[in-house]
Amino acid sequence: MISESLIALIKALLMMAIIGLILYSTYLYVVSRRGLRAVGEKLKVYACGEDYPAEKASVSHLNLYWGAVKKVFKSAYLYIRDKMHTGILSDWYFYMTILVISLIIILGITFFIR
Amino acid sequence: MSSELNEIINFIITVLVFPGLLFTLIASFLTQWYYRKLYAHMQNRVGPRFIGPFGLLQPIADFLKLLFKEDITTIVARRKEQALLLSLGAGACMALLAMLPFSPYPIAGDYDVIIALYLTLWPTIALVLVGMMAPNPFTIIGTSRYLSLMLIYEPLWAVTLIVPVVLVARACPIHPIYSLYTTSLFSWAFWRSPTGIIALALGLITSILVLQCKLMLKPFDIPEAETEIVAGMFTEYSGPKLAYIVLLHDLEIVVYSILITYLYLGGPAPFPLLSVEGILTFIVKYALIVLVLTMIKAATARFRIEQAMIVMLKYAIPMGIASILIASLAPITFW
Repeated sequence: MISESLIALIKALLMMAIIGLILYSTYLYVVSRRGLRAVGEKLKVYACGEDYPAEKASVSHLNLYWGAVKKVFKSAYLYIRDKMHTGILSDWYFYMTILVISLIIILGITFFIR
Repeated sequence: MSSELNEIINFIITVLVFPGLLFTLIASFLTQWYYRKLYAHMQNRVGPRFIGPFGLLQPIADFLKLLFKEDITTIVARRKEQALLLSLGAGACMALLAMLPFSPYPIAGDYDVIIALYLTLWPTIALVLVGMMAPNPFTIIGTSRYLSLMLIYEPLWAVTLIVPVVLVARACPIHPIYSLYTTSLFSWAFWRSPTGIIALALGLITSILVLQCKLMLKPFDIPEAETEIVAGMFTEYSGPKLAYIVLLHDLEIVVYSILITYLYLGGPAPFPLLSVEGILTFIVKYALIVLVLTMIKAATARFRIEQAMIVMLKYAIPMGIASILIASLAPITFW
């Protein structure tokens, strides 16, 4: 069973690699045939006519990751923030208690599953 | 010796001709013509018209024109890696087709759905990396948006692929199990099961929503919103690299639509594939999937990123979870 699945995996990856290399070779051939090199304005980063420094063009991959996560959970975060930060101390105690109890339950379940 | 030689020849034909390179390229050009024509008619335009009969050769002309244009790379961008990634993404799409029963030499094995999931991830990862490899304010915003959407739609896409596979594996554990091949042959029968019809219908609706998002079609074209962020992820691309981006996009439409046609609608069923009725049924089902995608694209306006998230969280995720729960837990009976 495993060997058949492994053969299927190898065949699929081989097919992907062969086609990928054919298309990539086509690209390299087309690019090498032209022999033209872009110069001047074409090499600059496009910013709708503004002058944009090259060193500013890139951002950290960490920002990309956290940006996505923040966007996905923004509404959940705003909801929890508004619910928890009402300014009333008992509300805060209530939510913190729920959080701690949930954590204990999760830890307990993990312990018993082990 | 001769059987091994036959196997190698079959594999080469699968890779280069059917359902590999040649077939998929032709299918992607024809599909582009089809959805451009549909989209144009929905907007009171005529669409591709001049090159070839009914404008059929217009997508090929567009591709070749881009392919032979100047390859411009900015000083901060990578030079050739993007083309390699896009080529491998296209290769992954084509390898997926070889796992379906219409391939004369199908790649199948137990649990090959995991291979399929891995292959469907390739084009997405390729596009993310391509976006990041040509840094630009607009590219970064587009890529960030694409990543945000990806966090939601990729798990859902996996669920929509798994639903029919689980149904078939539970009811008829035929070798190879948990395989796209077996699922494509038997999923059609589950439309006659009370459990199957609910799971498949929910899965089908989810898959259409997810596909709209995965292919960046309206209302989910947020990563390349041309009126806000120029061309988003692809702002810095032109010439051959843009030709490959467009090609990968069309290949994704073709391959994912064929996957849904097979996994949810049974491909050529109720006819055998190697018959005129079978081929026509398959083409009609495929054309219907593309028609639905195009209709949603034509009828809706672009969401903002958080609106898109909310739509996916409110509708697609509950439907996806419900379909996988029904497919994996509910008893399966047939009418």
